[in-house]
Amino acid sequence: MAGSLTPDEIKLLDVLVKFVVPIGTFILGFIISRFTMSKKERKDYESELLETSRELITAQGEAFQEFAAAIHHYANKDEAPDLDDFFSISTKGELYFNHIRMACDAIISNKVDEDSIRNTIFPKVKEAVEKTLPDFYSTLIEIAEKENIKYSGELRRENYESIYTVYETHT
Amino acid sequence: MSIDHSLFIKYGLQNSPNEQQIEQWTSLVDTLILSGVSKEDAGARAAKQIFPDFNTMVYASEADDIEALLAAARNRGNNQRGR
Repeated sequence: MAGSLTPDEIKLLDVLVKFVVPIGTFILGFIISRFTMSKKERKDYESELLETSRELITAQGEAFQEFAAAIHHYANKDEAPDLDDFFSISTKGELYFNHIRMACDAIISNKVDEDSIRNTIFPKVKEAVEKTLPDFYSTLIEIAEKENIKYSGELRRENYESIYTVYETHT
Repeated sequence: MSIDHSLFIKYGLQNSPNEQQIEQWTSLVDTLILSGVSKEDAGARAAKQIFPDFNTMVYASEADDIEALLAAARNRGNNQRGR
């Protein structure tokens, strides 16, 4: 009968209960603790995400100010614009979109908090994809033609892959 | 961006909120969150209650600003050609 154990089997069971089970529980607890966070760890992690979001948003805001100033300068310049004015718009614009791209890289690697994504970063990503990126490139081409500047820039998705990825996954 | 300016833009106010209003808004948001309201909802509900000019203005987004500036840049070329 299955219920009747030999003395050796009873000894083995005894060893299992006395040593193997506590050790197993300890190892399991250790493993679980590596994959879960304590309340403090969770709080620290959330603060870290918030801090990263804040830094990204601040840097992106500064890039926006510079980009806007460059276009404004070109649009309102009394004298004829020169190459520097054109390239100022082009590089500051690139920098502006680079900051959006960095924010998207951070979103993809889960380094940004959900509220910042939803309320601040994603609206900018959506507008960049649907409006500003195409507008930026077509305007540069148009200005270059008018000012007789040789410019071969064009909007290529691969240059802004993470922006498109975040746009598609969050829409 | 300072908190008064953020509130000013986010909740479409006509005037920047003063310190007392910001404090009232913050404490009402905390109370609402504690009672189970989501952060976003709590912010909007508190703003509606505290700021008399809640949602009376719509401020342009970055993209709207860029779009307008780029259009001005394109028009500059046209105006010059027209001269």
